[in-house]
This record gives sequence, structure tokens and C-alpha cells, in this order.
Amino acid sequence: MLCDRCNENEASIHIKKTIKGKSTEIHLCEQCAKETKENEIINIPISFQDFLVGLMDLTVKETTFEEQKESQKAKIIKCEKCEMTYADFKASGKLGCAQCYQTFNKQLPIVFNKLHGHTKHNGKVPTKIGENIIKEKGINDLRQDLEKAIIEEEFERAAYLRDKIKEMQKGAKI
Amino acid sequence: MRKDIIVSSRIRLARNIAKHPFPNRLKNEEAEQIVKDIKKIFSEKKYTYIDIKTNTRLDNLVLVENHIISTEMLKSELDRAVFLEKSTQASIMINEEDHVRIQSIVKGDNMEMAYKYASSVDDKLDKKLTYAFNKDYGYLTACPTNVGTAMRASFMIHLPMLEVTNQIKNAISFLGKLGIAVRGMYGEGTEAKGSLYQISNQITLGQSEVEIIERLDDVVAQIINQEIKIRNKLYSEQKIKLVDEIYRAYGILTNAKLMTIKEAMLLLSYVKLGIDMKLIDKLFVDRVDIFDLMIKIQKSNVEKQAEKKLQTTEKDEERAKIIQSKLL
Repeated sequence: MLCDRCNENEASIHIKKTIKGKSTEIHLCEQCAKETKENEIINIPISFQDFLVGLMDLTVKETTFEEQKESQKAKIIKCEKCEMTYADFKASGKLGCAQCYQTFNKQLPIVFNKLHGHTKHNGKVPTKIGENIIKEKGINDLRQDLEKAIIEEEFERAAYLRDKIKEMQKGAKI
Repeated sequence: MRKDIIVSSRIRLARNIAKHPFPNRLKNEEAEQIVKDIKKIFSEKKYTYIDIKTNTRLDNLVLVENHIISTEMLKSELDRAVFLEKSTQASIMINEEDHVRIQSIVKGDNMEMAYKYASSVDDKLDKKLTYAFNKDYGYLTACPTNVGTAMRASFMIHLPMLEVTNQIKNAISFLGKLGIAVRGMYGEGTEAKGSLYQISNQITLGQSEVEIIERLDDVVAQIINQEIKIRNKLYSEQKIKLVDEIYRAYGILTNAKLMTIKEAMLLLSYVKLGIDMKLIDKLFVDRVDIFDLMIKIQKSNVEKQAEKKLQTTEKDEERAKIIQSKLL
């Protein structure tokens, strides 16, 4: 286990602290332990952010070699838009942009489940996007009608449906 | 009595603009652009614009004490601003942890109204901006604790009796298990001065806005029932002791020449209890809003009212004067 402070040397001093039932562990190497005053170690407050970061630590439940490898891979995934890596996210507890939600799509549901007990939104929808969701469904319905019309060789109707889909697609762009 | 115990109802909605990175990864030019874009949406006629960067530090601290902005707003280096809707007093923070934080606080037990105000500001912005939104995860926020509805509903409630009898600790740990957070008057990490507690939802994903409010309402109703039970018990068993305690508090508040914030909050909490339980003569405290007074006697508010920088003792003296101007 590496030292929590310098992340370089092997930790040889382990401090466990329990406040109101919440335990925190600090692991330090000899050098860092000397440099850190005793009261500083003991008085490290547990912030909400630390608590959150702890929740996001996927390594907690790793048991097999495969899982460890998977987690190591996750750490280097990088968001193309804002350049945030999963390791950055784990350290700060914050995502960098909307794109991050897609970039870390595989890891985030685990975090959401721990935090909220859910992984799917069930509330308000922005009007613009909401309209598109409704339109999207309308277009899908028309496509099914179109396929049916083609199978039944109703070409006149098929042409009408094709034009209508095109028209709707134009209006649905975000 | 419920309506007296609930001091205020608050809704906070977090929103981000799809095309920009979240504030923690935002360049200042983009931050400036966001403030500019939003300035165009909020007309001067209906909204007051406050520039946090050019404001004096004291004015900003007063905004924090008055619950208009968060302390996080003061820490950021980015260009940031606040808009205040004149009619509803809803505040809109730009470039806090998220691009947009809409907050509406309504006095008393009125979460529906607070939601209505916040949501109408949201709808106004929604027409002009493309929000970061995902069908599965809802409104996308910098912190995954807010994702989904990105809504925090919070009741500020006055629980002096649960506190005195030490039952508040049990209540807090129990609420934690239900996904409900309890904080002090000034948010995360602050102790509950004046026996005021903010009770809010932690879960934002998977439940609708209405469900979140209903659930919180159920939980708060339970806590308030407990508080009322103890009040009634004390009233029937030790009324004279209770009345004595309240009048003593009133006596000190109206006569002391120096008043620290800690003492003032404690004594005002007793007076509030006296008013709500109708134990103090109405003549003394007719139409005094104790919660309002509790804010007016906070450090920066006191300095602002004195219009000069004050030493600790001067502040305590000024505080005593402010209290007496309201109570006498």
C-alpha cells in the first residue's frame, strides 16, 4: 500500500479513526508521518467531498485479477471534450462536462446506484428536448407504418409516409 | 403549530449549458460569455444584477448571510454573477458549481410555491439555452450527487425542544438512513445555531420533483410531531419553568449592552418558542419576525448596518442595539 500523502513510498503507519460510526483510515510512510504533525493527522476533518470520493472508489469491491485490470483501465479513460480522466473524477468528485457522462457511461451507473439507489431519471424534461423525445417517437411510429405499407405494396401511401418522415426529421434537430 | 415551526421552504435547481464545460473545467472567457448570454435573458426591469467580482467583500458576505448566494460563490476565480428576480426574490447564481443555480426561498410552509417560482425561472432559461440533459440521467451536473432532477428541496425548521432533550441526534441519524440530510442554518458543516435545522433530500435521481417534495414533507411532518409532543408535555408538566425561561431570555435581550452572536441566537430561539407557544405577552413581541432578526444580527449584517468596520466588542454592542430596536 502506498503512502496517502506522497503516493511514492510504502505506507508503514496506519491510523484508523471512527467518528459517529464513520471510519476513516490514513496510511503514511515514515517520512510523511514525521513531517505531518500529530494533531494534523488526528484532526483531518471528514468532508462531504471525501465521503463522496470514497463512494466512487471502485477498487473497494475488486477481488479478481480481471476486475482489478478493468478498474486500472477505467482510471485512464479520458473525456475528449474536457480532458478529464476517471482518476481526476475520482480525486475531485466532480465531472468536467456533459460529455463526461457519455465517456464514463460504464462506471457512472455504479456511482449513481450507491448515491441515489436509482440509475434512471424520472422528473422534469426540458421543453426543447422534451419535444424532440415526443417527435422521435412519432417518427418511429411512422417508420413502422412505412414498412407495413411497402410490404403491403401500398406505394402511394408509402411515398406519403416517406415525405412526412423527412419533414418531421427536419424539425426535430436540436 | 406546524406553520410556526417551519421557518422557510427552499428549492434549488442546478442547470448546465450543454456546449460549455462545467465551471470546474471552464475557461474564464467562456465564463464571461455565459454571464453575458444570461444577462440578455433577464431584463433589467424584472431582475437585479449583482456582479460578485466587483462587489465589496462585505456586501458579498451579507448576501451569503441572507441566503441569496452560497459561500462557494465567493471562492471561485471565474467571472460570476447573481440575478435577483424582483417579484419573487428568486436568486439565480451563475458559474457556481454549475453554470446556473436557481434558488427560491418562501417564508413558512410553502414548498409548492418555492418550486413554482424556481421552475418558472427554469422554463424562462430553457427557452433560450440548450441545457445539458440526458434521457437516462436527466439534468447533468458537475457533482453526481445532484444529477437527475438536480433539485434540492429544503425546509428550515425550528426544533428547540428536540435539541434540549437531546433527541435531535437520534432524529438526524435516522433521517440519514432515509436519504434525508440535516444541516445547520448556514448549510454544510455549520452547527445549528438558534435550534434551526435545514432538512433536505439527498436523492435526486429516480424520483420526480413532486415525489421528492412529498417524501420530504412526510419526513418533516414526523419530526415536527415529535417536537410538538415534547412542547405539549413540557407545557402541561412544567409550564411555569418554561415561561420563566422565555421571559428571562426576553429580559436579557432587551436590556443587555453587549450581545455575542451565540448568546443572541440562543435567546432569540427561546423568544421564538415563546411566541409560537403563545407564552409571551403579545404586547412585547407584536409582529416581530424572529427569523428575520436572526439574520440581521449575523456578523456581516451588523457591520453593514453600522456602515463601518467594527471590533468584536463594538459588534456585540451594535448587535444588542439592533435587537432592542426590534423588540422594544
